[in-house]
This record gives sequence, structure tokens and C-alpha cells, in this order.
Amino acid sequence: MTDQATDPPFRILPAINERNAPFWASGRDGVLRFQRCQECGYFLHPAGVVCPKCWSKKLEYEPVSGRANVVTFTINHQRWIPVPELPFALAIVGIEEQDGLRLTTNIVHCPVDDVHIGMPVRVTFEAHPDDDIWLPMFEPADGPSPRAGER
Amino acid sequence: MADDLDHLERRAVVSGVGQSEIGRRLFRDPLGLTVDACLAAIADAGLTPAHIDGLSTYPGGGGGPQGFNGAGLTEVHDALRLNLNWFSGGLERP
Repeated sequence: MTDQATDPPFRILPAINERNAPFWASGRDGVLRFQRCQECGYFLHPAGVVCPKCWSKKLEYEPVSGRANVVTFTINHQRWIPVPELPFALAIVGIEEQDGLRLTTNIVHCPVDDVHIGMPVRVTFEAHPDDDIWLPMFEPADGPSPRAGER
Repeated sequence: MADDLDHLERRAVVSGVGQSEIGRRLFRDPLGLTVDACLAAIADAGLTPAHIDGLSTYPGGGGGPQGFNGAGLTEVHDALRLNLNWFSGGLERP
């Protein structure tokens, strides 16, 4: 699911360069993609210029399932910047396709108290189309919680 | 006797060199050029990136005049997945 109905909330957006632009724009069609070595199949994140496993330079973006597990998380209650909502869950998730392929993200569409280590989650994107950025967020694997609005 | 002192710099050698493409309009990522030179130097020394335990970059990322600063310490460290015991990086680090 992609939140496109309303104006995108305030975010400090990533600095886009040639290497990472396809990653940040990937959610346009609702699919998460990572750079992948075309020789040995290793996924790279953040995007690089050479495969750190086999040193091949043949790197292309390839889709992944979007399924992941919460590796670790913290609940932030402090309004350090004008974020859209408080509290929010800041997490590192491990992408299903490869051990160690991890993404720092938010866990959304569920009460923050439901977030736990090992929690199965799936990707959802927060659209910032004017900047060609679709921020990958993660929600419970079985979909938004009916108690999503609760804090 | 001064000869009893073990000066690290007296044991330093340049054991490998490497050069990237050089040009004004290569349309290459600066990190790509840096990695090319690093891998060439490592291969020239008969080593692999797993052998590398120290890294020094100059002038380092973010510092220096426009067009003069390529990939910095953290970018090179990450790109080559180096396991470092020491590092120095111009304006980035001591």
C-alpha cells in the first residue's frame, strides 16, 4: 500500500546521487529494489560501485519480495524535528532475501507497543513524488493493524 | 644507540601502486575511480582487500576545493568492506 492520498509529511529526505537514485525511486511501482551483483548474486545496500564479495562491477537493481523481520528497534517520543507523528518506531529490518541485508526504517500502521524483535513486516512506501523519492517503511506482514491509530 | 629504536616509518615500503582512468569528462562516479585505483594497487602488491588493515585518504570526503575531493574515508572503507586497525582521512579524521 502506498500513502499517496494526502500531501507527504515533513521528512528530511536523502541526498540523491547517481548510485542511490534507483533505490529511493523504486517504490514508485510499489516494489523494493536493491543493487545486486550480476556475477555472484550478492545484494548491496547502500549502493556501491563494486561487489565486495567478488569485485565485479556488474551491479544492477533487482526487485526483492519486500518481506523482512525487525532486527532491532527503538521508540522515539521526543520531537527532535517536526516529524508527522509521535511516538514512532525507528527500526533496522533484515530483508528476507539475504542475511545481513538491512535497512534502517520506520515501522508504521501499527501501535508502537506492538513492535518487537523478530516481528515479520512487509514494505510500504511513503511517496514524495515531487522529489522522486518513495521512502520504504515497513508495516505488519499481515497488513495494517486495526489499532493503527492508537498510540 | 639510535639503531636500537624501532621507527615504524623506516620499515614502511610502497609495495603496490594503482591508477584509475584520468580525464575531465569520464562520467564516472569518483568512488568508482578510487576503487579502481585501490584494487589495482592491492593486486599490484599481490594482496587482496582482506589483507588491508589500514587506510589513509586525502583530502578526504567533503573537504578540499571543488573537483579535488573524491571518495572519502568512510566511502572507501565501506566499498571495499575493509577490516581496519587504523585510518586517517584529511579533514574527516585526525
